[in-house]
Amino acid sequence: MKYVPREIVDEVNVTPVHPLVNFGYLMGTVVAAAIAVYAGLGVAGAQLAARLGPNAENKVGDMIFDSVFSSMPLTTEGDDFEYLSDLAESLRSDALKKRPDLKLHILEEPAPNAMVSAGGYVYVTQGLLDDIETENELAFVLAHELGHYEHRDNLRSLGRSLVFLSLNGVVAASGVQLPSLLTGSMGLADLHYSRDQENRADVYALEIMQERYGHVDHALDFFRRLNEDELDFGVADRLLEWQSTHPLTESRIERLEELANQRGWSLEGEPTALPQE
Amino acid sequence: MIELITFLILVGVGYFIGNRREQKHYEDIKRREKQTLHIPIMSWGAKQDLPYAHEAEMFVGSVVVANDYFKTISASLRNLVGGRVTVYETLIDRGRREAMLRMKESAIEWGASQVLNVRFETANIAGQSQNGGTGAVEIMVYGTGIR
Ligand SMILES: [Zn+2]
Repeated sequence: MKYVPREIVDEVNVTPVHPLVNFGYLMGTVVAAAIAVYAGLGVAGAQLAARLGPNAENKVGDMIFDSVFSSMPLTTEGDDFEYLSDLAESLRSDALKKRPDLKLHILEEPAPNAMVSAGGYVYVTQGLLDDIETENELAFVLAHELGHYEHRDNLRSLGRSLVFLSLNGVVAASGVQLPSLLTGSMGLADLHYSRDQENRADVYALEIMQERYGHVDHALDFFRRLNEDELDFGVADRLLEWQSTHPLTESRIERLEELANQRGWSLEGEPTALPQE
Repeated sequence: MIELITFLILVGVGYFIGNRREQKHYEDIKRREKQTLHIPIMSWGAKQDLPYAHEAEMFVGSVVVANDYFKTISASLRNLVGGRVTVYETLIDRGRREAMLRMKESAIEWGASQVLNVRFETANIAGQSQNGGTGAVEIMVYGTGIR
C-alpha cells in the first residue's frame, strides 16, 4: 500500500459552534430555569397561603416562633397580659375561631408596635401598651392585626418561604430535616403588607369597633397622636418603626372617617377606659 | 458586587486571551502538520510484524494544556443541563495534535522514515480538587520510529 500524505482539512473533532453562542445558550437556559423555579415558588406560596389548613398553619407558626421570636424578651403573664388576652379573645370573629388559637405575647420593646405572625402568634410591644390611653385605641390596633390574620396577610407575606416552611413541617414528621438554608429565619419576621391589605385590615377593625362600642370614636386616636408628634425627633423614629410594618398616612385616617360617615357610624362617643393599674 | 466584577474580569480574560492563543496555536499546528506530512503514522496492532528496518527507536511527544476560566464556567454551566461540552473539544483537539507533532518532529530529526504503533495516553494532572480549580490535561503520544 502506497502512503499518500493528506492534509487534515475538516475539523471532525471540533463542533463548529462559537464559544460565546454556546455560553449564551447555557447562561440563558440556566437563568430561565432559575426564573421559572422562582416564579413557581411564588405561585405555590400564594396558593398555599390561601389554603393552608389549621394544622399546617400551626406548624409553620411554631417553626417561625422557635426560630425568630422565642429568643426575644417576651412576657406571657401579669395583669397587662391578662387584660390584653381577654380583649383579643373578645375581638375574635367566628371565622377566626376556625383558625389556630391566638397566642398572645407582650414584647419588651419601647417602640410601639403590634404584629401577627403565622399560626395566630400576636405580639404587642410594651411601648404600645404604655402609649395607649383608652381601650378603644388598643382594641382597634388588635382588631387591625386580627384583620391581617383573618385575611391571611401574614401567611402571604411569607411568600416563597412558606413553601419551604410547610414542606419542612411535612418532612420533619418523617425525621428528615431540610437544610436551614432553605427555611432560614431570614425575612420570616418582616411582615410587609401592601396598601390594599392595610386598608382591608383597617376596614375590618373599624367594623369591629362599631359593633363593639356602637361608635368608632377614639379608635384612631393613637394614630392621630403618632401623626401629630411627627416633628418630634424621638417619636419620628418610633413612627418610622410603625410605618415599616404598617404604612400609615394622614389620608388613611381620612379615608376611615369617610367610611364611617358613609356607613352612618357615629364618630362621637364615650371612650372606654383602660382598667386601673 | 466586587465578586461579580472579579468574576466578569476572569471570564473576560479567559475568553479573550484564551481565544487568541487558541487561534495562534491552530495556525501553528496547521503549518507544522503540513511540514511533517511526509512521514506516515501507523497505529496497527502490536502483534503484527513490523516492516523491515535497520534501526528502531521509541519517540514520545507530550503536552499539557491548561483550561481557561471562560471554559471552566461554560463547562460547569453545561454540567447543569448536560450535553456536549463543546468548549473542551478544541482544548483536547489542540492537545492531541500538538503532542503528535512533537513526537513526529523528534522522529524526523532522528531521520525516521515512518512511525509505527502510535498510541495516545491522556491524564488529568491538575484541578482535580473539589474546590473547582481550573484543570489541565496531559496528552502523550508515543510510537516506534524506524529508519
Ligand atoms: Zn397592618
